[in-house]
Amino acid sequence: MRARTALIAAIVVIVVVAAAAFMLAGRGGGGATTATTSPTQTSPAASPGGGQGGKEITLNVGLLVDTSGPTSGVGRPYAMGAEAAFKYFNEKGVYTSDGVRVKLNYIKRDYGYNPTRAQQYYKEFRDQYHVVAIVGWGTADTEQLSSQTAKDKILYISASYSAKLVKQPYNFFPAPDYSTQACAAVTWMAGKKPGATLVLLYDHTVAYSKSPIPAIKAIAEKLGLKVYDVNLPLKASDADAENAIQQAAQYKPDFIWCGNTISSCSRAAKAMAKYGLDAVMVADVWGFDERFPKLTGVPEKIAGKAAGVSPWLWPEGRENQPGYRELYEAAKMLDAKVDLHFMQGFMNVWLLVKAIERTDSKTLMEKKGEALKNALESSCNGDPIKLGDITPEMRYCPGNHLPFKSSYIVVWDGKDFKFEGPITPEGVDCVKVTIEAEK
Amino acid sequence: MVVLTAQTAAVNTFQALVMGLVFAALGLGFNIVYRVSKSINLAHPTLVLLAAYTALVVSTRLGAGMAVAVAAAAAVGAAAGAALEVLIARPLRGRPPIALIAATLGAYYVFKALAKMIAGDMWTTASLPLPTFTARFGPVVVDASDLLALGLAGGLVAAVAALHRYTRLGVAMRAVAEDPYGAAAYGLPVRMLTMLSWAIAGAAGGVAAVALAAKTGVEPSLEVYVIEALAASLLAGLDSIAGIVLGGLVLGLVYQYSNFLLGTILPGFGEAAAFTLMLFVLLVKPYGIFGTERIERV
Repeated sequence: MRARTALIAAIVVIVVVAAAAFMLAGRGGGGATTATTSPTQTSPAASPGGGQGGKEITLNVGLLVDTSGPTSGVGRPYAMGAEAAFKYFNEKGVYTSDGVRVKLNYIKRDYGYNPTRAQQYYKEFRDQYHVVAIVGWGTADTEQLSSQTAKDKILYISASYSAKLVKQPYNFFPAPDYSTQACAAVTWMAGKKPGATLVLLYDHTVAYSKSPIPAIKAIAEKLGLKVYDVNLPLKASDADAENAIQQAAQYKPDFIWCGNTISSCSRAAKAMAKYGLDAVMVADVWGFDERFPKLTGVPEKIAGKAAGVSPWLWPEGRENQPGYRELYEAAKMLDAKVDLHFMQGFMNVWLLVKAIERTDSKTLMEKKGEALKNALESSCNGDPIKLGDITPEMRYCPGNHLPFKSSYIVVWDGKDFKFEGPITPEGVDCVKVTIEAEK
Repeated sequence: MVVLTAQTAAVNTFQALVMGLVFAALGLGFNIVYRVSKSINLAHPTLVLLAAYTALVVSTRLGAGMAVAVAAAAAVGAAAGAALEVLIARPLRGRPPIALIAATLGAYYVFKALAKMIAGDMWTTASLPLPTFTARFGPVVVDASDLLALGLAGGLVAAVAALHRYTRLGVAMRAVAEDPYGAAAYGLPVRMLTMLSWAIAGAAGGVAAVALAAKTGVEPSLEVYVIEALAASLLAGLDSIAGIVLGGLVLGLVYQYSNFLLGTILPGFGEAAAFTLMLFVLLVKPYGIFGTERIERV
């Protein structure tokens, strides 16, 4: 009997260990290798323009994503977009300014949206793989790592567009920060209805949701909008959403800002439709995407009432435009579906490629991450950076990595998404207000 | 300042009742298992997650109706519950309860991994396909998600309570829960009944998963609601079945009203208030409101 119990216990342990291994299956991406030094030179490789034709540099790059945790719903397409970009650019060929081919060897880790695990993987990237750059994900982990990446001189391109990161020397992203995006949304509202009433729905306990609020209030005051706060949990059921919408309705709002993620914002939009609240909801960049109408369950009832902020035009229907064309070609390689979050992952890797293309091989070999940072910052007074038609001209300046300030408002009209803008907020430095409020 | 009017009171009370019943349904799985195994099944939250993704895949990818989705979720839940009993609870019988609790914690991750496998590329935020009708009853608007949640959660709690109270199977299961050795002496198939109890707890988790998904959507962190539902179980008493309705309703009402009245001034107060109440009840009545006090002989 004891032996049988022990056997079953052993089976249980094996199953648990196997499951744990499965859960950590994000480890080891398509490009993960055992390379331990970076950059390394190998040969031979062709180069365009006949520069230093015989050389090839291999760069190790960390890819830190959430494909299993609470943000994995959007983290998975983001990770896939980044992986498609690595594959695409490696096949197409990435070259330094002096014509040396660069192979990007990415090491993928799924940190499950756990900042502590992100720290562990960061150490692995740095100490074991000697990465020169990291393509990362969330706000909490990116902010926590930002001082360390500056110290280690590792370029960090994140999917978090937190205003704090704009001032960090090694952090970059190809978008305005969350606060500047939100300020664009408020500018749009003021343009639609001067003197309007705006209710801010967001989780008052979550840093991501809270961070743009002071900037929103500052620009709303300047533009003559009345503003009220209502708490909406990030993890919202219909009951929570109806609770919040009942509170919001007491202020008779013309507009509602939803500063949470898509699950919470779509529940709130559903509650608005259910109770006939005659206001237009504008959600932040992670609160509104192609899935939004379907997630509410009442897509026809939210026509003209649900909108979101986006720094870029979404990829659907733009297969033939520069930038989007490359995106679709990359997606084909993985047989992946292109959507907004796939595009975000693709763009971040493309920004890294732009940095490589703006530096020469000698500087890259000597200064590594610092060379890439300087290359991006050379756009401040030199040629701007552009990711095809996806972004406008971007300039990163030392001490200010806000590449551009405009955003679109994407309105669901019942059948399709209509883009209004781009809108550039004026009169308030939304980054500055946010950083000062968080001090 | 938020004002509580007749309309907002009606709306919040209705939503509190719906979510309270959903919490009660989610908590049932804990209570059924506790009765037979005197342990808390920490795998129950991800068993619910697994069932919810099963329902989502069946209803959207396979295009089956909601009844089929509920049946599939219940079947997966029942299979998972039975597997837990056979593979974990049975070999650990007679061991300290902490051994079973720890083992179910391991199963928590197994079920989460299975949910991810079943979901595939649907491992994201999604909604169950429900009709879009609404009906107004005074100030309260009721939609398909409310009706589905109410029907499934209320029906489930009533059915499980009736099974335990009025059927021969229920009486046999209660006998096994009360005194397994005595039940065996009377010729009851203790092993089978114990496994059946775990399977029923799993099936209840499957049905409750659909009720929950109707109100929250399906997402990878759905199991958090089940952890909250443990408060309803503890409040009622872990060995109470019908009492869990009260536990769930108290949880729903306290949560909803604290959030409505104080949520903006004191964000997160709703959850804190609900769990503080639970702690208070447990301090006064450690076995919960309807729980049976056990006298340990040493």
